[in-house]
Amino acid sequence: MAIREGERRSRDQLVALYEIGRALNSTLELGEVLTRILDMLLPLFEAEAGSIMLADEDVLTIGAAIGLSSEIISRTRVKRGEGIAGWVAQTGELLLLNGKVTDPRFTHLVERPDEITSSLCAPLRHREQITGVLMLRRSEPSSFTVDQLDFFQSVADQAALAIENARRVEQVERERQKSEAILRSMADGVLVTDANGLIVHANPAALSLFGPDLPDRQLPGLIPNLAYQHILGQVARGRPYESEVRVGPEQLLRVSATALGLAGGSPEGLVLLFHDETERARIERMKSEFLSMVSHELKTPITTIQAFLELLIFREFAPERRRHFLEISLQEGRRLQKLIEDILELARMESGRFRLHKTRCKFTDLVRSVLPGFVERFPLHSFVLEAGAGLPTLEADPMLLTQVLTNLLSNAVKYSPDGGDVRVKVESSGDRLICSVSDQGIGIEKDKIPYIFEKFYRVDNSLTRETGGTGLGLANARYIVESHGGSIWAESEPGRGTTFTVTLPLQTSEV
Amino acid sequence: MPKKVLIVDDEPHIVEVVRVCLEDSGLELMEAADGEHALDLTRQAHPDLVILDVMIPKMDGYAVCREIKADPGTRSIPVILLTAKGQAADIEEGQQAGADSYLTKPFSPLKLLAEVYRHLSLGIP
Repeated sequence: MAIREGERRSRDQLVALYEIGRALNSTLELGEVLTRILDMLLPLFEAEAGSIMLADEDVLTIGAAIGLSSEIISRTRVKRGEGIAGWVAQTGELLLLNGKVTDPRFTHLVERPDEITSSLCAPLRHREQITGVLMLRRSEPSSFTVDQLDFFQSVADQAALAIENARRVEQVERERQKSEAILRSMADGVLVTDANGLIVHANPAALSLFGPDLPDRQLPGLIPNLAYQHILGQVARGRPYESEVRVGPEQLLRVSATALGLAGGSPEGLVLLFHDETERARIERMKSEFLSMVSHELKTPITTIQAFLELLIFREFAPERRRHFLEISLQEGRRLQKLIEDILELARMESGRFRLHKTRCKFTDLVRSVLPGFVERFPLHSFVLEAGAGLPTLEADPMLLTQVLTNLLSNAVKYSPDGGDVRVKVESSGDRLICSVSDQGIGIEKDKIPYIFEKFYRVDNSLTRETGGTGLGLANARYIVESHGGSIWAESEPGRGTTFTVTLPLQTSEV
Repeated sequence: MPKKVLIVDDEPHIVEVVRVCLEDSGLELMEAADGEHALDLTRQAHPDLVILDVMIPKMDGYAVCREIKADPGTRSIPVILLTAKGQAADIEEGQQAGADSYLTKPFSPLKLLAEVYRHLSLGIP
C-alpha cells in the first residue's frame, strides 16, 4: 500500500513536471514565465504564498510573487548571504524551514508575516551559477515535509531552465533593439539585401538618400553606377568592397559592401554602407580651385615684370620707353604685394585667429579721411557725403573699417568708368549704424550678386585688371564687417548703378 | 604684305609686353581681350598666327582654340597658347584643343619670339 502510494505520487509528479515543462515552453516572455511557475507550483505544493527572486550580480530582487504586496515586490533588494533567500543564493542549498525562524544564519529576514510557519526554498541554477531563488510558503497547521524536497528541486531546475530561456530571448530582443537603434541613428545609409539583390532592410539614412520606397526593391538598377555583379564577386571571395559612386548630378557617395553570412561560400546577401562625401568633395574642390586661382593671380604680375625686365636686358630702348616699362613693372610689383597681403589677410580672417583693435571712433571721420584721396584721383566722379549731425560713435577697428570703405569706393569708381556721382550716406537706425555707397555705373546683373563676395569673383575682368583689383576686396570686406557683428549686401540695377550697404552695431553707452 | 598676329589676353600689361616683344619683326599686330572677340577677329581678319591666353572672359582659350581648329577656314592658322595654367593636365587639354605650341607664364619674350618666327617660317630673329 505504501509502495502503491509512492508509485502514484511519482507518476503524479512526473506528469506535473511534464505539464510544467510544456506550459513554460509555450511562452518566452520572462514576466509571464515567472507568473506561470508560481501559478502551477502553489496548488501543486499546497502553498499559500510564493516568490521567485532573480539574481543580478550580488543582489536579489523579486521577479514575481504571490501573496506579497506590489510595494514590497518592487522595494525588496537582498544581498547574497542576507536572509533566507540570500543564504540559499549563496550556498546553493535546498532549505526547508518549519516554525518560527530563529536560526542565526538567516540574520536579515525578509517580510515574513508571523502566520507563515513553513517555507521551501530552492536555488535556481544555470551552468553552475545560481541565477535566482524559488520560495514557497505555507502557514499552519500542515507544514512542508522533507520528502517534498527532491521533487521541489526538480521543479526548480525546470523553472530555472525556462527562466534562462526567457532571459536569453529577452537579451536577444534587447540586442536587436540596440542594433536597430544604432542603424536608426547612423548618419550613413545602410542597405541589406538578400542573395537575389532584393533589399530587405534600409535604415532611415538610406531612405533619405534613395527615397522612401526602398524595401522590396531590387538593388541592381537602383544606383546606375553601382556595379552589383562586381560587388557580389568581390565579397564572395571574402574581399571587402569599397568605391565611390556618383548619384545624380551632385551627390558623391562612398560605398562599402560586405557579405551577409558566408554559408557554403556564397553570401546570403549584402550589407552596403553609404557615406555621403558630397560636402567633403565640394570643400576639396573649392580648396583646389582657390589654390589654382591664387597661383594664376600671382603669376600674372610676375609675368609682366619678368617679361619687361628680360626685354630691358636684351634690347635697347629710348630712355622714356625704358622708364615706362620700369613704371609698369613697379606697378605690377605693388599689385603683387597687395595681392599677397590680401590673401594673407583673408587666410588670417578665415582661420579666426585675427583680433580686432577696437577703439571708439566716429564713422563719418573715417569717411572724411578717405574721400579726399578719391576726389583727387578721380576727377570724372563727384563724391558726395550725406551724414546726419550727432551720429553716435562706434566701438570698432578704424583701420579695418577704413579698408572696407576704401574697397567700396574703389569698386564704385571702377564700375562707373564714365564717371557720375558716388554717394556715401551715413545714418543710424535703432542700435545700428547704416552706411551705403552708391554709384551710377554699369551695375551688376541680379544673378551675379550672390557671388560678388566670393574670392576672386569678378563680374567683368577687363575693367578690374586695368585698375589692379585683386578679386579679394569684397571677400575681405565681408569678413571685416561680419567680425564686427555687422552685415554687408549689394543692390543693383544694370545700367543704373550699384549700392553697397554696411550695417554695424552701435555702442549706445557713453565712454 | 606684313604677316598678321592676333594677341589675345585680358591683361593690358601682358598685351603690351607681347607687343613690345614683336614690335621689330615687321608684323601687323591685332588684339582681343575676350574669347568671343578673339574668335570673331580670327574669322574676319584671318591672322597668320594667334597668341592665346586661356583664362579670358566669355569663352576660355581652349574653347577658342577648338573653334579655330574645327573651322576649315581657320584651322591652318597656328595657335600658341600662352597661359599661367602649367600643369600636365592643362598642357594636355591644350594639345587636345589643337594648339600648335604651349608656353607657360611667366614666359621668356625671346622664346616667344622664336616660337612666333618658327610658326611664321621667318628667319631666326
